[in-house]
Amino acid sequence: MKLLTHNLLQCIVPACRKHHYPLKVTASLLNVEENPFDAIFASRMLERLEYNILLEAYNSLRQDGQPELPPAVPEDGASNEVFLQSLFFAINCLDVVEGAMTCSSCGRIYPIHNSIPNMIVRAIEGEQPPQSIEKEQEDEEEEESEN
Amino acid sequence: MTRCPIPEYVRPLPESVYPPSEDTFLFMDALEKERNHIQTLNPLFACEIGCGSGLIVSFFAKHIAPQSCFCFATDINDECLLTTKSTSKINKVCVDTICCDLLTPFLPRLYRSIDVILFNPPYVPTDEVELMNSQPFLGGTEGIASSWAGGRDGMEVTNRVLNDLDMYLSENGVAYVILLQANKPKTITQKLKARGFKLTVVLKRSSQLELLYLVKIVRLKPPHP
Repeated sequence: MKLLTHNLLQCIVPACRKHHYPLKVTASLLNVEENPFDAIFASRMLERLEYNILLEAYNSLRQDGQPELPPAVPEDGASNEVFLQSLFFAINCLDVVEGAMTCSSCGRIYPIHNSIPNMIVRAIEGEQPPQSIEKEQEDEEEEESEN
Repeated sequence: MTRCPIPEYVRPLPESVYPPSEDTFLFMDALEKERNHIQTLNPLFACEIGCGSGLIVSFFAKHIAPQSCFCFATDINDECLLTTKSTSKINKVCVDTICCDLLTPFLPRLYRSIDVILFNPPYVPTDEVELMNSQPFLGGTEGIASSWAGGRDGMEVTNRVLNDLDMYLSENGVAYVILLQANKPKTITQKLKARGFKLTVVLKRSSQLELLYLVKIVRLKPPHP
């Protein structure tokens, strides 16, 4: 799981739905993917990121020798090549292979295994099923004439 | 039109993963037809819901998406995501994979932000029991049935996505969806129109048992703020 994805995910427990973002990410195994630097990708993503959340997650996982992210986005962030390279590394190269994400509100742990976070809530755990499995009776008659 | 090659994948696929079939190939043919339109959109976020083998999202990432597009895929079956990881790796594309129900954990962060949605849903009409047995949040186990069991009119899972399109699609975003004649595409078109969306058929093809459609859904006008 990329930290870009982490930046987009939130707890799915219904009681937490209002604001249980971010999830705290931890890792026991990280991988670095050698993805070619894409400045446009990094600068476009910059507008969509919660930078402080990325920074906190990245700093908690960063290993020696890996690029540092500044405490705030530089004023020329969208065009600052050095910054964009670090940002690209943080959001799109570092991969959490084994680890977990934890909700600070309900304490629920979403495991990450083989780079795949598991965010399934099972009915057996007593959670509410999602809302809109809709039942619509009114379109019963239609569609006979279609082909 | 020069045909883009079908992505490679590791064989044999696990038993619980839907193997590439006629709908998969129809999907890829339609994406190729839509490539210019998709590139004009300059998408930043693209995702496949229910990625199965990962062939469609890998095809998209390799041949259709312009540079600078983040591709991710979700499925409720963990084995599908492992397979999608390996499919994307062999084809040298980046696809991040998340085991979740549709796109649930991405809201509200991706509210009206997804530029391209790819969805080959479980569209086979089944009874309630078959649907429930296939969906973990309803108490079932996510086997191969989750790739086809669609409940009433084969639309119960698809409707959950269509009902939430306004929350997911960016202003110029587009959703590509496979439908079956039995899903009652005319009714779907009317319902979407009432909600401010336009459905058009990109390709249709009759397979042995059914008439398959690949449709695209876009907004009729900019969303209300």
